[in-house]
Amino acid sequence: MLDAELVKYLPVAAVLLPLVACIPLWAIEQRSAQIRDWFAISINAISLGLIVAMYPTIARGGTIFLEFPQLLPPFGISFKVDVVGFSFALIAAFVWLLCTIYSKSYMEYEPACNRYYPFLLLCLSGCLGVFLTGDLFSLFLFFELMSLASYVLVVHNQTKEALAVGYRYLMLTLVASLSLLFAIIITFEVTGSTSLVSGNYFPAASGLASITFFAFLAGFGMKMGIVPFHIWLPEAHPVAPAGASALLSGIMLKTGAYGLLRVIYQVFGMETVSGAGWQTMLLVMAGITILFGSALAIAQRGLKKRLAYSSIAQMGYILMGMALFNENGLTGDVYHVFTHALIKSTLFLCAGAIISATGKHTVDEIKGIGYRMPVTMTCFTIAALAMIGIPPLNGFVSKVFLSVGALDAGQSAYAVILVISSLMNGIYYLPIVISAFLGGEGEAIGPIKRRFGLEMAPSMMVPIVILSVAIFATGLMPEGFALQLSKAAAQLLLSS
Amino acid sequence: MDDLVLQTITRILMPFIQVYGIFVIVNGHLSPGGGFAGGTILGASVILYALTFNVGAAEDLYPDDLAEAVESSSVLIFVLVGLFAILMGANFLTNIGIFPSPETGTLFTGGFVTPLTLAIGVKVASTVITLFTHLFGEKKP
Amino acid sequence: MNDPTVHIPVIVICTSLIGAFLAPVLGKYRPALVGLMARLIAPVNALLLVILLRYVDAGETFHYYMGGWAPPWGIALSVDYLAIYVALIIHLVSAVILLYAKDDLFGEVRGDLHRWYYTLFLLLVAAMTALAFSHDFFNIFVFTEIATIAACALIAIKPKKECIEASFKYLILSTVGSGFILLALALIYMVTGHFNLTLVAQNMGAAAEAYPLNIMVSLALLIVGFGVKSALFPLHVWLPDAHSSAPSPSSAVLSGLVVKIYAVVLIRIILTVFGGEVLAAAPIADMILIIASVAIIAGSLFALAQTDIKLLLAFSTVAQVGYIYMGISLLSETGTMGGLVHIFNHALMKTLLFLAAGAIIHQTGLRKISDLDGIAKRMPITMAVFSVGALSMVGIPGFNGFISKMYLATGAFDAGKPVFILVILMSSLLNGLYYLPIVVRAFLGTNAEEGKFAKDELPLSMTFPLVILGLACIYFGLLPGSLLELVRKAAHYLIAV
Repeated sequence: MLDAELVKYLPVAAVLLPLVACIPLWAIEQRSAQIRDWFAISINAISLGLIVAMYPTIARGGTIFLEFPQLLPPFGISFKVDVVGFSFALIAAFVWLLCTIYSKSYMEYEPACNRYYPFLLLCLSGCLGVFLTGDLFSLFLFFELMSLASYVLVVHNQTKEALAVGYRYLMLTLVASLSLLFAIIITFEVTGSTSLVSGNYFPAASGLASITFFAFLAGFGMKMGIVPFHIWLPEAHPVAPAGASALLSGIMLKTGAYGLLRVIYQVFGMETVSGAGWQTMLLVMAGITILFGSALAIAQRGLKKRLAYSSIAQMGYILMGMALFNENGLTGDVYHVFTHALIKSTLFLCAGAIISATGKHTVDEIKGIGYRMPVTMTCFTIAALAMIGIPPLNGFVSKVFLSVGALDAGQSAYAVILVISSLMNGIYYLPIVISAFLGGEGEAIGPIKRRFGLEMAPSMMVPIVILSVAIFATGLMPEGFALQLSKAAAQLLLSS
Repeated sequence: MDDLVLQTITRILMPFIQVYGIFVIVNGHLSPGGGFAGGTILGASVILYALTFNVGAAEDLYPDDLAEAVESSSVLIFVLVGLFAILMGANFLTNIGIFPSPETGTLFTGGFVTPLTLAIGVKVASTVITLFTHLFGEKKP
Repeated sequence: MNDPTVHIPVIVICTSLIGAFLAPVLGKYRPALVGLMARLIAPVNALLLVILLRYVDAGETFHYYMGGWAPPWGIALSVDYLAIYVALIIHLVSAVILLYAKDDLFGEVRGDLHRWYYTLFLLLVAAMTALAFSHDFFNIFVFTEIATIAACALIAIKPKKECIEASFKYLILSTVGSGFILLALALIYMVTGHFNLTLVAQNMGAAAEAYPLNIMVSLALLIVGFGVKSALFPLHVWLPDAHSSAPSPSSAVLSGLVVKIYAVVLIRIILTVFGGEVLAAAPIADMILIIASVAIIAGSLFALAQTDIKLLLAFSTVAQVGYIYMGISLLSETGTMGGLVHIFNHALMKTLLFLAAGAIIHQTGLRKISDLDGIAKRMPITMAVFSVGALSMVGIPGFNGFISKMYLATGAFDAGKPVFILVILMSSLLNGLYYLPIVVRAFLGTNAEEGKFAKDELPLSMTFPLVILGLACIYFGLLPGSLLELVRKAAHYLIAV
């Protein structure tokens, strides 16, 4: 059991460590690529450790709070960790660590790794910062850090296409952050503070309130990839290196969801949101996002592009969960954050492994890949099944909770949408799996690059396998750790 | 221009003009005029010289290098006199009687004003001449 | 009165003047010493101003009477937070620029003119400082003229056709502006009988009642006159050419300091001399607010269209001057603070950007943005610092530009005009549109001739000032506490009167 005083500094340490570590990392990478990789991995591991160390406090139902009012007046910077932030941060740091390990081998033949790792760390810092801060302004600060750092990850390949996509990403990020800033300033002026404390609600609906709400929605929705704001997502995610795509899709989208959760439940409050009719609007947006994302995913031939569109659909689930306003829905929502982070990063890492081994990018070119890369495709299959929602995998659990939540809220239409969407998931994931295992023995693929006699380097295989095991494990233990956290988070948000 | 009458008259007039200029400068605190007016008169004498002989002759009489030094130092004198007042414990440019017990209405009542108008006069005279020669000769700076 | 610190404003102005006039003589015999002297004067003066700040901390606004003559006979200097704040910025930033100028000048100005360059620079600094402290209309006019002439000469000193043309344009337009100012002063003197700002302010109420037309016309003339000099939007036409063609240190001082000093003087006159009654009679503040908004958007749009990096920076200055006017004319505490703090922040950022652009030109001769592909490989430090400036311009949190943007936005809300928040955010977006591509291009752009871009950094005397400015941008972005404290006091001086 850690000393209470020490616990207070855990979030700061977890956030600032990756930020500060960029400097030694920069010095190290001038010397040796090997040490650089291990250094980045160990920094990630320490961050994860620091977050895990907060668990006892969080499990007791406590919060950790620390503020630095002298930084950046008039808002100041504060760190506050409750069970919601903790859950998000935990999964983020966990997946991040695995992706960094994966990158070690994946990036071996890529150019400019000396740029990749520092920005990966910066991004981690921003991401954890978003989850662990205690007021909207600090959240915004780290959100911005994450967005800008992730730009560099997106354009990593420096191709013309990547730069063009990156430019759009950068500009939309800028729009998002400006609209967030606008909303935060108005919130600050109207409510007198930006801290995420329950009960300090925005006064009930007025013109200003709706402008603010929509500015928040645009800002966080842009990051989240909700339908009218999704345009950057399906292009930006595939062009990044696999490790970064996994993080972009698996973790960074969740920062938008997290922000929106805070805004809905702690800045405006449920009464205002439902009273002004925004709840319905959010639900409709969620429905459109789910159907739209799934439908377009079916149409994609590119493997990573299909995954990116699937992410849009999944973010629709999360938006729906938070707009249901009941415990089951919200539990499913937070649980789906865990689920999707694990599944989508598995899928992207598998796709990356396939691409780096075969050089094939489209779904049609990888017929029979299951014979050549059995481990990869097994993990891919597990993740795909989880995404469709086959029991006993974790995707099933979150779908059950979401559906029950939808029914509890009297929105049976959305339960139907969930079912339809599962079906569509099946339509675009299963063919990949089927053709991989049943589409011949991979004659069309040609020889794959083998490393160490394996289908991929061990440091790539280990993260993928761990993630798949985690998918199984969380699904097999319905009352497990993740669900408990989700329930606690849902209760906290609802009670506020 | 090569006119003997003009040149001779100019030679005769120049000392008078200059003495008048100096008179106006030095009496700046007692009578109309002062550094600026007196300086212009002083400068005018050299301009007259340049017009009757030629610009080159005027430049020989008052070379550029000298002008640079004179102009810079006259400003410096002005500023330093002002700062001297601070050393004496008063505000910048405060007029302090530097001559012992002057009689009202005489030259010596001026205190610090006399050196200041002198500095101004020299500066203006020099500037007027330099401006003229530069414009006249269209010289490259 | 026996406290020697009261003389600091005068001493600061005088040291710059002495330096200015020592330079030509000294430069003739000991050329190496001139630059050294100039580089010493500015930091020493800045130090003196910091000491003065402590003195002013103790008491109220203090007036220094030249020659001990109290107004209405004497000339007064007003020693208040605003003046010290502005003067401090002038000296700190020019200290950095002079450091940079040491090596850069060799590429841009003929060797025998260097001493004159320092003369003009120090003269400009002295005039700007005097403008900041002046409490007398006529002095303001005189120093405006000195600053204008010195600034024109600082552009024309580079022996190129476009410099002469630009500085001629600047000279003509500025002189027209000066004429307007002189006319306004005459009108004010006619109805109030004074030049001293305090006395004019005291008589303003009665004069405005008796001669409303005079006051209004003089106000309009002042706004146009100083508007030309500070490049307020429709009157900015001279600025882009002048600022982009000048030698880089001149561009930096012109964009970073000169335009803002006029803005401060104008605002100070409007708010403290004309005061509430006149402002209530005509919607002057709202008019400036709208003009400033147009300036912000239009300046950014023009900048978007530029292909020359220094022209782009110059147009961006037009927009940024709009920020300053907007902030102060919001007339709320936070808004005024935003405008004032932006004076400092923009001085840092724009100086940095101009010097970095100058460094690129100095080293490679490239001015077109499209030629800058992959330039960061060649000049990594310069481009890293440039990126800091660019991010700061866009208003990314953690950099100083964000602080001013935030205060402007909260100020707009406090003033009950949330529409202007949108203007500020819009302009941030536009800034992003034209600054970020340069950074992206420099770092990620591919260049066909990789070999051309061997690492080729600047001499230390040029890198050092750049790095200092970059660090300052970050420092004041993260810990602006002490700066904001000073700015708050300065803002109180402006809007409390």
